[in-house]
Amino acid sequence: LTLLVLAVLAAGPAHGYALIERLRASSDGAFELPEGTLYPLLHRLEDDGLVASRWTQVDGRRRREYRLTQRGRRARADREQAWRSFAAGTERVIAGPA
Amino acid sequence: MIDAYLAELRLLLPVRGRRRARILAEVQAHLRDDAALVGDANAVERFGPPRVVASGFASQLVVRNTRRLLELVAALFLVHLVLLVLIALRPWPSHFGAIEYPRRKLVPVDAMLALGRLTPMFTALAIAGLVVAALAARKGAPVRAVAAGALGLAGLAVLPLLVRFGAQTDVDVSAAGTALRLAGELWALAAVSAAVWAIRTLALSRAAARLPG
Repeated sequence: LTLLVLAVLAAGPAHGYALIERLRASSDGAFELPEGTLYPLLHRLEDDGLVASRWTQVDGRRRREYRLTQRGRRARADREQAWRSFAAGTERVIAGPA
Repeated sequence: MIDAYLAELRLLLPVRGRRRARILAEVQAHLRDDAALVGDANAVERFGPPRVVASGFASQLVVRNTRRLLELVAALFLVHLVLLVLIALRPWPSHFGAIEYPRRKLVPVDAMLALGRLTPMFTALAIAGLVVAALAARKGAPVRAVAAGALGLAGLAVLPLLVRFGAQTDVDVSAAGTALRLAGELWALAAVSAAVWAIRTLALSRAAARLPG
């Protein structure tokens, strides 16, 4: 889930609701998260310095907007590489011997 | 319905003050956005039960507090060692003279010496805390380990204070001596704060354990 959130935020800053919408749209509905689980994760990523946040006004309403930090971009790249390596290895095992 | 949801979440969140206000404001903004599209009931259902949401925040806060407490305890321990070495070696020219601290008049020398005799008690508290920390760590209870370590460190914190009191009868009034005493006092204050923080983290950990994961 951490990699998914970092990847979605790499496209640009977003508040929580928009982030879930982006995740839903970019995965063609594959990731239907219990939405309340997103915010503790965002707060943890902020504590870890991977994202930063600030209050903004959108359509006259206050929203907390999150964006990736430099450290977050590096973490995203590292996790993406680890995931691709894991997925490729799994694919080879599933496919069986050539 | 959203107001009732927020009221329940407010009661369940194991934090107070600005952090709780921020969490509630974010959740409220999210629910209002979603409710505009799917209605209040669906928005609340999609967000998840308040107890589960509160549990997520509680777990995240326990991890955060424990990590910061661990960093603080490590830093305090290093400073403590440096202070002890400096007090023992006094690698600067000493100038002994009459102390001009106003507190000398407030705290009688006899009382300072009496406090000094309590040093073994504080040392025992420190050692007990560190032993409990080591045992808790072996049992895989990081929160308890860090908290006990912080409490033990608070026991050690009293030592520099006593050194300072003791020094009032044989005072080094050089700038370095004064700086050292001041550093000792600040260190002791930070260690006691760490102990208070440790107690709060333990309380948060217990609250998180009562919520469903």
